[in-house]
Amino acid sequence: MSYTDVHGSQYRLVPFVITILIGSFSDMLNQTVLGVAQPTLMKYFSIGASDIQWLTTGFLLASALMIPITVWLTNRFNTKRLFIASQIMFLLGTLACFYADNFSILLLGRIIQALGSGVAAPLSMTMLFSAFPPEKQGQAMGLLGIVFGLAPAIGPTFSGWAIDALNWRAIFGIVIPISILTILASFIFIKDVAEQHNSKLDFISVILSTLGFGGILYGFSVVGNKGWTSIDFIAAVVAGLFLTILFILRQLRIENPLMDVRIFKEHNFTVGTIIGSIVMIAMIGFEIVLPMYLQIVLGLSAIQAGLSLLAGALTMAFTSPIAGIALDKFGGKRLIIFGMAIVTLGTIPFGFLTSHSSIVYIIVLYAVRNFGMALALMPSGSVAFSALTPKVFADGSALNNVARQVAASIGTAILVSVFSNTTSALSPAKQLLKIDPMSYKKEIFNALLSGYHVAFLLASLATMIAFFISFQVRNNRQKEELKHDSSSTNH
Amino acid sequence: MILVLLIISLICSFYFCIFFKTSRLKIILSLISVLIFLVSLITIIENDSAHFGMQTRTITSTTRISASPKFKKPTLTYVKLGQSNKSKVYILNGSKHTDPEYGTIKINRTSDKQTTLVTKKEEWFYQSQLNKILFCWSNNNHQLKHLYYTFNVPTSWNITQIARH
Repeated sequence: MSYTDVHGSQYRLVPFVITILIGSFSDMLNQTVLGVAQPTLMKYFSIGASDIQWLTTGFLLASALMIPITVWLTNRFNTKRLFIASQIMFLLGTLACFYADNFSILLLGRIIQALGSGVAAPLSMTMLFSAFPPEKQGQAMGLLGIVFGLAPAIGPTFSGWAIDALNWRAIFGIVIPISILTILASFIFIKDVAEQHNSKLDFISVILSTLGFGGILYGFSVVGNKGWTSIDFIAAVVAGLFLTILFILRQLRIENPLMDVRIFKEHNFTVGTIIGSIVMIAMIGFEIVLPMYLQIVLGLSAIQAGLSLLAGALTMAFTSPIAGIALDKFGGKRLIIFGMAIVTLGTIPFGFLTSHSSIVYIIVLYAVRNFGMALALMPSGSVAFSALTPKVFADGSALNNVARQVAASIGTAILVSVFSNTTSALSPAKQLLKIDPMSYKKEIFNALLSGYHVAFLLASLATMIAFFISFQVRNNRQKEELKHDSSSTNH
Repeated sequence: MILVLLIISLICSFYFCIFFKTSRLKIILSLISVLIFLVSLITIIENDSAHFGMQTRTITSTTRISASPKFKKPTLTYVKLGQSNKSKVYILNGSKHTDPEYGTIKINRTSDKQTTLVTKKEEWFYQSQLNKILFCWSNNNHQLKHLYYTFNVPTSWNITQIARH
């Protein structure tokens, strides 16, 4: 089946979609490979934990800068050229990281990567939604769900393997051919699918959004090291919130807003974005805490821990397209409610893990949880988008991405700090290690387990809240009409 | 098997709740599959965290302990873990030793000539074949619950602490 781009020329949808998915996959993969590589990089460049953290924080801040600007870029420029430019930018960053012989170059490479993927992530969403007809947009989201499921799960496992078998440069090196392939394919298969309209870039909005979202993201990223009462956290978040409010007020007032925040008036867009964001809190935080449990308590290696989570990732990747088809056919409400119920029920067992829990149980329960996640996460995005007109797809995509990114960083900060606070509160005094090491071991294990239990139960609480909110989803009127039309023509 | 039941009931719940046309049959089938899913899930949590479906048994074994070759006089040796007297690891024959994590140790002085060790191993196991099949991937069959060591040491033997190496 062929589709028509904005210039009226025909193109094939399948290679178009595959190119976007491969591009998104390499972008997302690189976000998750660094966690495992950090100890190796610290040793290689002889730097401390707080410096290495900048590789993640810098990446996050640079993409926060780009997401709002992407709205303007998408509206202003040819999407094909923009997509290719973002992928070239990403490739240049990756090359810089690959050849880096000092930490500054590595950090610079990461920031260049982020400038590319900060554009590519919301742009891919916009392009997929613009290319698919309304009655098939669930499938578009389902396909993107494969990438969302696979990349974060493969990243740490691959990274652990690459560092053990080769060296840290390999984690960047492997992305280079994928990136080149994406760029070449983009020239042939990517088409200009989003309408352009001239709008002025409001520089004050750019500054407000960069500092506002950047401040919030930075604030939550330092919680792990500096705590909730640190000046860094409080100052960054308070300033970030203040500037974000100013940004929103300005968007409501000016003629050419950077992001059209009025789209939050659309009921399903708001509900879908809230559900997606809460799910991100539970998902990202959970995916950091669970590997810690597998390695520290069950004694698995980093690669074994990564492999244990692979079944869950594959479940999500396989379920996402099915969820997309179901979504187009039956609407999002039932699917999201069912999905959130499964995510909540699938998370609760993790609150009861012991020091000798069965790894097979964990693998299957994680897969059950991810099955629910696939039914809820991407459909909630799809429901949010289907409430919008194509003219504001870029705004919707940017707002949805910002909300999810902020939620992910809040989720990580909350779950990790709740875990470490509970653990340190219950940990025995250090001198017990000298006096009675066996009692110390027992008490420290119990403290760790309590920490994991609290973090996992908190994640269940978050998903339960999203479950109740999902009853607020309204099935798309447009789809109801379509169904009504087709049934009346059948009669 | 419980895991297979969990996965099948989940897929059935998904199919009946989402894809089935609204009817009385849909409600009945959905309820049944959701119920099986919930029961399987609770059973798994209970089995993993509280040994649901398992029993405990005690296996008693007696071994003769040979004297440490490091000393002329027959001696039973131990290594102290930490400064307190709470954790002691007794050296058994060869490189074997008592388990400091799960073991409780009792020393009886006797008039016998040979030191013997009575080990009471308390373990979890599946008594019924059905439960064994149901929880076959639980990895907790024969899981150690506790070890009770009773040393019967002749009064002629010394009990001496040695350094850890």
